[in-house]
Order: sequence, then C-alpha cells, then structure tokens
Amino acid sequence: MNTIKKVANFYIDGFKSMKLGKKLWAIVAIKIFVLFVIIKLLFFPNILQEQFKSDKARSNYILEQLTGE
Amino acid sequence: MEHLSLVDWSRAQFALTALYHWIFVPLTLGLTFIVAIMETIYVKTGDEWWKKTTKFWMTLLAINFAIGLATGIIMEFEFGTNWSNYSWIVGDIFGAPLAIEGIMAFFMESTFFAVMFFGWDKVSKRFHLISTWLVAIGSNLSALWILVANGWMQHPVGMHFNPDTARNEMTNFWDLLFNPNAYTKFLHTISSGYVLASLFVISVSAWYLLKGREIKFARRSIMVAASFGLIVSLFNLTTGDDAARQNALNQPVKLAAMEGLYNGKNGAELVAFGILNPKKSVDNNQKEFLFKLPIPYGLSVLSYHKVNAFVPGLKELVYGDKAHNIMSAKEKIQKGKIAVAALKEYKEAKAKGDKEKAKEALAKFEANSKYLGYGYLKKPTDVVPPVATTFYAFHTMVGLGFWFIILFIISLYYVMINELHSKKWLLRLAVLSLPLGYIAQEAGWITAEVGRQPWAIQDMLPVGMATSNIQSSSVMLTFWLFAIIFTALLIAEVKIMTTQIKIGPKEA
Repeated sequence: MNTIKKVANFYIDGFKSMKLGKKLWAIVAIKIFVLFVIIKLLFFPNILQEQFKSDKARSNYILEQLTGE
Repeated sequence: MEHLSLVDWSRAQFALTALYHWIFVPLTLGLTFIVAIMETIYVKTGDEWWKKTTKFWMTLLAINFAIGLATGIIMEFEFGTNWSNYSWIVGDIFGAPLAIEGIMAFFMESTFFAVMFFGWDKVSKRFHLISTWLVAIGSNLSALWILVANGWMQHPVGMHFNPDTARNEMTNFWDLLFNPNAYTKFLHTISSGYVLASLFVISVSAWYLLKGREIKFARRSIMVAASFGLIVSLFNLTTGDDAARQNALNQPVKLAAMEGLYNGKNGAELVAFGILNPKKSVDNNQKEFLFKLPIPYGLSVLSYHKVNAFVPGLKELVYGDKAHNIMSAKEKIQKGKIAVAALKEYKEAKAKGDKEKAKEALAKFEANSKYLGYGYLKKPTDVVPPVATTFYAFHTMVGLGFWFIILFIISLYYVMINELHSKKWLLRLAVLSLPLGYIAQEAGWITAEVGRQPWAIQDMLPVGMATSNIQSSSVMLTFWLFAIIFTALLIAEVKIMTTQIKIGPKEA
C-alpha cells in the first residue's frame, strides 16, 4: 500500500512541478480528444465491422472483391 | 482497378499522414540516445554542466514527443476505413507486431518516460540513467514492430493465404521478424533518425554559437552530436547498402526505378547525379538521361557485390529476359489471372459442395498464388512505379546523407581544435542543414513507398484492390481535415520548440 502511495505521489508531484509540461499535456489531451472522439467516431468507421455481422460474411465479401464477382 | 480517384485520394491521405508522422518520429528515436549518452557522461563525471545539458535536450525531446504522440494512430484509422480490403487480407500478420508495439509503447511511456522526466533528484542517479536508456531502447524497439509490418508488405514471408477466409495467416513468426527486408529497413530507418537528431543538436547549438551565447554548452553538445552523428552515418551507409541489395533481390523494379535503369546490363553503373529524360518510358528508345555523372560498375557492386553482375532494367523486368531467367510481367499477369480464376472456381465448388472440383481448383490456385496480385493488373507496364519521383527522392536522400557525413567530420574537427565558434560559414551551414535532414528523411520514405507501387503487398495485392468501396469525397474531406490538424501541430511544435531554444539551457 505504501509503495502504491509512493508511486502515486511520484506522478502527482511530477505533474504539479511541471512548467512547460502543462502546456504539452494540454496539447496531448486536446489532440487525443480530437483524434479519438471527433475524427475516429465521425469519419473513420471500420467499414467491414459496420457492414457485416460475422467474419464469414466479411470473408465472403473480400473473396467477391478478389474474384471480381 | 476502378475508383481511380478514390485510390488516389486514399493514397494521398495515407502519404500525408505518414509524411507528417515521420516529421516527429525520427527526432524522438535519435534524441533519446543522445540524451542518454549525455546523461551517462553526467553520471560518470558528476559534472553538473552535463546534467544541465542533458535536461535541456530532454525538454526539447519532451516537446517533440508530446506533439508527435498519437499522430501515427491515424494510419490505423485509415486502414479500417479507406483500406478495409487490405486490412482484412493482412490482418493476421499485422496483429501480432502491432499489438506488441502498442503494449511496449504503453508500458515504456507510462513508466520509464515518467521516471526520466519526473525523477530528477527523486530516484538515484543510476536508476534515472537506466530509465533514460530504457526509454531510448524501448522507443526504438517500438519502431521495430512497425517496420517489421512494413517490411512484410515489401517482402511477404512467413505466411500462407487462406482461400476460405481471404486472409493471410502467419505460419512462422520468426520468418516475419527476421525477414531481411524488415530488419534492414529497421536498422536503416532508426539510424537515419539518429542522424537527424545529431543534425538537430548541432544545428541548435550552432545557432547559439552564431548568437555568441551558451558557448560551453553548445561546444559540448556539438562534440557529442557530431561524434554520434558520424558513427551512425557510417552505419547508415552500410544499412543503406543492405537495403539496396534487398531491393535487388526482392524488388528489382524498385531498384531499377531508383537508378533510372531502363536497359539492364552487366557491370551496371551507379548514377551519382543525373537528370532524367522526361520523355523516356519503357516503351520507347529515347535516351534515359539528359545528363548524368556515372560511377562505373557501381550498381552491380552495390546490388550483387560483383563488378560484372547483371542488373536488370525496367525493360527486362516488364518484357522479360530469357537469357537471365527473368519472367515477363505479361506472363506473371497470365499466371495471376489463372490464380484469380482458380480462387473463384474454388469458392463456387465449395459453395456447391463439390469436393473434387474444389480440390482441383485449390491445387491450381496454390500453383499460381505467388502471382495473385498480377491478376489484377491491366497491362505489363503497370508494374513500373513513378520513375522520376523514385529516382529523385532516392538521389536526394543519398546526396544529403553524404553531405551530413562531411558536416559531422568538419564540425567535429573544428570543435576539437576549439575553433568552431569562429567559423561562421560552417555554423550557418549547420543551421541550414536541419531542414535538409528532414527532407532526407521524407525522401527516404518516398523512395521506399513510391518505388514499390503499384503494390500494397508486393506481388500479392495492388493498391487498387486494397481500398474500400467508399465515396472518394469522404476521403477528400478527411484529407484536408488532417492537413489542417497536422499543420497546426507542426506550427505548435516549431513555436514551442523555438521559444524553448531561445530561453536556452539555463532554464531547462
């Protein structure tokens, strides 16, 4: 328990004592939000996951593409 | 091969993402090692100057790392949306290396990175130093898995295409990991990152010397960076030689494009510098170059380590050459079409429950599956990549690589005799060489990726078959979205970085 507390304090103190780091973390947080929440969800669906319910259906679709059906 | 505009936009988007991502990655790969070397000197000597020097470069590393973080994840988004056919077909191969990369990156970044940045004066000097080295080694190993995946696309090994699932299944992990194309690419890529980081340190330090400030700091930094840069540049030369040899063995069309070689020959020359004839194509007899500076026998020696070795040109690779046992692209296309037809027959026979016919079709497919990708090409010349882009990108990379070696040698000489600060011309050249370092980095990837066109997976899947059947307008929209986001990130990087450089090491 003591070790966990020490590790937690290590991170908390580290974040608290940052100067430039706070600005960088803000950039990282905004970027991750934009990439994963906005861009991924709105613009980048997994096409095969969305269009087909099973791996068999996905395989069949790709085989159709490969064999020109 | 329909949806040409979709293919072009998907290609452009992937290229944009990869090129921007590669602005951030090589500096992190190299700067982690330079910082680790500086900290080692600090721990060995106990000299507080080295601690200050280490902390300053570590701050710039943190900026680059934070801004570049997660820029590569977009490529994975693109796989699922724009390249779903490709993703499905390679899924089982990419799964293992990318999962290892993700786990490794997570643990490294959340533990040792934290110790490296937060741990000064909180953990022992030795533990801090170990953490810094582990960050350097870990981030480079992280790159290994990505480059193993890329190496596989350039030279697919260790797998078997399952005609029932339309997926490649890994048959031997070690073949995948020790794929000569993969480890050569890995070593060449990471060492080029070290060269860039050395240029970065020299360039920033040279700027301080030009301004007449931070003299001691700048001299020490240049001493480390020029020594490191020279060693890794020489290593980079050898890995580049290996990479060219791998191209000769596994991607001869790419090698011929890199050298603008249309007609193969024994004792082929290496073009040190050249201007391609824009009217030249595989189909005509125009001369290849308007101007060139050749190195006799150079290409034969580099490719096969023999003075008189035959190096095939684009003509032999497209139209075949029986004397040298080179199959024509036309014949490969025929075999590819047989493979495609056999795959179709197999699928239909399976659906009808006709085991005999399925077995027969499968045997025909297996016999020709090596050429499957050629079955989707329309004409033999489709195997030729954009020659001019490949040639100029390759020669830009190599030419700049030699310039960096010269720069490292001269900088090291003058810093050792304590005259560097008075050589303004050299300091200016050093500052100007930083953007050249980035150009060389990007040119390297352009050579590797444009040179392997039309393949998404060499000989197996052309780019036109790898894309999803989606609207090109949606890809166009996200292309511009990424262009804006990445440009904003780049501006942030340059702005924060230059502010920190202007502040200097005193406040690091």
